[in-house]
Amino acid sequence: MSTKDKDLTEFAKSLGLEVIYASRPELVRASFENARAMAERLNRTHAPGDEPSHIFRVDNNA
Amino acid sequence: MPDELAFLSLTEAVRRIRSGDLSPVKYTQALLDHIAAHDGQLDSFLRVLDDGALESAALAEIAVKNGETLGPLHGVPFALKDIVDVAGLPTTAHSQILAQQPPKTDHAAVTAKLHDAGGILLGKTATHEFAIGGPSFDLPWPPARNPWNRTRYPGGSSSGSGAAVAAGLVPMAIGTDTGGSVRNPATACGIVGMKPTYGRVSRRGVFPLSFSLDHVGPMTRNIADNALMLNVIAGHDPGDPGSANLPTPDFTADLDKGVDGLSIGVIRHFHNRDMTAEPAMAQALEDALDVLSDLGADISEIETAPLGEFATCNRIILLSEAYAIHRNWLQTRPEDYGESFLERILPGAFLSGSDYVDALRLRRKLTASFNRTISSLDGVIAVSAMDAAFAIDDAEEIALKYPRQARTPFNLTGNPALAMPNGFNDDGMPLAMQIVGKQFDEAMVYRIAAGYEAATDWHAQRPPL
Repeated sequence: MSTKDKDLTEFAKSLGLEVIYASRPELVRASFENARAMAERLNRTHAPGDEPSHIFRVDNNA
Repeated sequence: MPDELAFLSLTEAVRRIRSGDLSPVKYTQALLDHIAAHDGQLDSFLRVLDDGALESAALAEIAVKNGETLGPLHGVPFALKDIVDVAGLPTTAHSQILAQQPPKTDHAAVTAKLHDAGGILLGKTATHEFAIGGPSFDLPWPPARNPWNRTRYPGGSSSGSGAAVAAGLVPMAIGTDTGGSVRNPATACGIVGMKPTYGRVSRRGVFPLSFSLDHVGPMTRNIADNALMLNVIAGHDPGDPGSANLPTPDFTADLDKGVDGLSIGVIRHFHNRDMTAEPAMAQALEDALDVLSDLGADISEIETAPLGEFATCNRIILLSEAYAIHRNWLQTRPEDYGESFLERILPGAFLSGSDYVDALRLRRKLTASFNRTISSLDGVIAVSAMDAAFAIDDAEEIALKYPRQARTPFNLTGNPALAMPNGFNDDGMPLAMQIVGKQFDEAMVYRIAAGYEAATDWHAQRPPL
């Protein structure tokens, strides 16, 4: 097992995904890579004051 | 059964039942017979309530005969995507995870509203697993198929609702839309699907996929029926934290006002720059714009953020929220999920808190920008999908074409967005467009859609069952 695989094993365990990792390591690896590629594509703001959307508007219940 | 009853519009069914010209029992039995004859090839229903529906229909018939006050949907059957709760029935979400769940004790808000309006629950319809994983052949029930061609995908995730309405098995159904799941089956099956403004229809009692992106919407065969159904299911609900405390207008009021003088923007870069639509889909949009222009609408091209930017933002928010919902089962019962669900959801485990917050920060900007763009317009038109319905059992084609759509922007922004038929391709599969409105201006979306529908006959075509 490579260092990269050991790291992913530990990461999956820390997320409580050891059951699926044991039977489907390739799926977990692909999911990790898919997520990080998605996060890379995100057009992020660098302005500290940029607020997130507040899904529950003031005239909603929350 | 005679097609006349199977394809009777909701509006006409209501009128005929009220006048005493149509028996709710005869109508319900006719639809049950139609289901028995055709749903074995479509698999659109997970559960059909034969006896319960006929008992409700008999009560509805007595109410008509007794001259009782009748609700706006009195005596007309409806179907619910099986992530919507019904008291006394389990909600399976088309998944082994919930297949053995006990019956629910309460109706979802939309179920209660449809019941209170006099509607008759005919059954619960197929969905992608938990409204995201599909089309799948490794679940306890098969996937729904497209009535225009049973080898084709009917769209999803509200697959069964779309297929059932298109096939004349039921005149109206409920779907849910988190990344386009009302509008996708509406597009693929050649019917009308409305994703109302976020907050317009209560999500209480609907199994969540993504709290901030989920919308509940009506699916019907024409615009007037859709507006009538939204009249019934819309409204403030203190039981839904996202429900907007706003009055509900009569969405049918402006249907006959036409489009003369309306300003309509068209987003072409979704399908000719950000992605490339199949030629027939692009041409159908241009033809529809010509129709609207001939009717007096002022058409102008507009630009928004690229589709890819909307899609990434939507996906990060959706997967982060969905993973939080499914985390416990993914840790303990992963083998009970289908493959498609796992492939789509598991990336959510590896998105960080800052990924999620940054996606929400981008969402705010995208929403503000789109609302500025639409502020000077009455509505916006775009394609719904890049492709007509594709093969249901070709995993490679599904992986390629599933993301080729232009619906996610309006889940992010919350604006009302309606998909409706605007043609057929050379394979005989339906084509469609989206009409998008200002927030809480569904009435204008319906007005534009009704103007177009009145000048065309795409909605009147029937699949070859």
